[in-house]
Amino acid sequence: MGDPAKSISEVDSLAVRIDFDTRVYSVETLQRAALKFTRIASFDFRVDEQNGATVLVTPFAALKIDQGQFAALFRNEVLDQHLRRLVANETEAERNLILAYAFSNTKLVPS
Amino acid sequence: MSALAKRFSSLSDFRKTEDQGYKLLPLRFLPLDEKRYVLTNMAGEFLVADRSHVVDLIEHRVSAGDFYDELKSRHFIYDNDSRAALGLLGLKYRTKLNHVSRFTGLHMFVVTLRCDYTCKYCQVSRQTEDRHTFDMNADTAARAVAMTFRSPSHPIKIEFQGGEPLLNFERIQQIVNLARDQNREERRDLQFVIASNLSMLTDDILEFCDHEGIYFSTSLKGPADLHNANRPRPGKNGHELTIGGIKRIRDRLGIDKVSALMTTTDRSLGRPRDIIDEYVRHGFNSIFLRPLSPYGFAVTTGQVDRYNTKLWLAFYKEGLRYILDLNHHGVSMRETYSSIVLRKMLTPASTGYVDLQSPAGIGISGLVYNYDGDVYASDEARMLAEMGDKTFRLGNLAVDRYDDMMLSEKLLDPLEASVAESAPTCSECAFVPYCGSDPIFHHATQGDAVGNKALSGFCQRNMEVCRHLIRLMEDSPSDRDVLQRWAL
Repeated sequence: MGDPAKSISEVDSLAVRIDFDTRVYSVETLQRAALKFTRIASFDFRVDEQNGATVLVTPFAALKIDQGQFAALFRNEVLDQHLRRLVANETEAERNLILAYAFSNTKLVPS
Repeated sequence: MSALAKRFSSLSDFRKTEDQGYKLLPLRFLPLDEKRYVLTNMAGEFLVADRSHVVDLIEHRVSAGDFYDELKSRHFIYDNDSRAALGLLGLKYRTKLNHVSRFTGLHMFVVTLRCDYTCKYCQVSRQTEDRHTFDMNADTAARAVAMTFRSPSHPIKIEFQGGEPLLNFERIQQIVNLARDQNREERRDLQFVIASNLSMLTDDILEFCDHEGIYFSTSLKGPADLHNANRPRPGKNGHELTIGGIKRIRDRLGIDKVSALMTTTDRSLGRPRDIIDEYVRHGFNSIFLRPLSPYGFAVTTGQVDRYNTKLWLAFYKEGLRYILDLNHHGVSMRETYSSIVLRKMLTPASTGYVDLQSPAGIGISGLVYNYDGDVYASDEARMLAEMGDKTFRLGNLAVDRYDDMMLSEKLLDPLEASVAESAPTCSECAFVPYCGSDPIFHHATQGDAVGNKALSGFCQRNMEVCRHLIRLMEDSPSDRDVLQRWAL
């Protein structure tokens, strides 16, 4: 697995911009990762065919956040979300089969 | 040895399939701490591994060896000689969800709102002598019993609540008699519990309860000063009356006929050891370090909710540490919240704990029949109504039919929102097999039945409880021995 973020830059004293390569990570993966941090920051997403995806992170003013540390945490969460997508896609057939086993011959689903 | 060698193939023969590669089974993972990750499968079996091992697993780089064997035996992967894994996982998952097929087993009857206590945290009690306004009448009681038996559940537990339910003991007797009569034909597994402060206990009440096999559940907040501060009543002798009541019930009905519940308040937070010592002193072998209720606090934002959660987590961890140390010194004591979560982590059994279910237990595990005939999806729904929000009022016994109430959008919509496996954030959380998605809590704290889990005190609390229990089991063999016993 390579570095998920192409670059990180400070936009102003509060906001952080993190760029991602959309050939590696989908925008949905970035959004899923961002949802976990909505307690401490707001997020804006921009997609450019040439430059990939940009995530603009604006921490809530009342919270003091180390921008470098936050960017590292966010990159790790993006990687985790990417791996979760891989697992979900690969195991879809097994998941459906297990659920079919679990709910067969019950009154919970109409026969 | 030579006979054995002929009878069994060599170990390398069994490894051949592993060289052909493996397939992943559905799994979830999240960080346990800076180095380790927790992996869980669909049935909640877990494994702790370094992050690099998780990446290796997902990218199919795990080769034959101990880690491979662990992954295979706990149903994270399968290969050519373990095709039965899918069927076994299906069976485990079905067992975990068994409670859903049972339907509503807990029926709470609020026989009066009157109470001799004036507890500040209690949103449902009112001190009044007006019996006609705040007592359940005979017609409402009969309708509630009829609705109770509409549930297909074989086990039926009728719990009397208040206010102080013993202030309307005449109604309790009527309900018990009606339920017993109906059960002669129904033949359900019928049980009665009175949730009481015990201050109104009399010999006549004890005699009736002895005859009917009725259980008591009481509230013990801790040592006398803490109990009386949390539960004020005229005379300031609530603790004395409660302890006296516990002794009378044990003497007359048996030691197992009374249990105690602890409601955490801001006064409790600094004194977990004093509270636990009080439970040990009075012969209880379990204590429920219950979370702070959001309904008695002015919670209007997620941040306040999380602040309260942090305080409770510190209280819980200190209390749990103390209880584990008591066990290491020969005192048999268990913490109930941990036991419920551990049972989900370590056994295939489903638990009946309404707050940690997916879908939520509202309506389908428990129903509340209020004194005025209103029917609520849970006790918390009733508390919310007393604060002016009747979102989860399903109907009224006098005018609404069972089918209409149980199939109403007021119940089905929040139930649908409470399926954690399909809720944002929850669906990918490794702890979802141990958790739930309490729609009433999130409605009360965020105004939305699903809620943003990043802002949720419910989520923060359960995530940290799960992490804490797994860390204890991973890092301390002596703690693990005790915690494994609690799961049984």
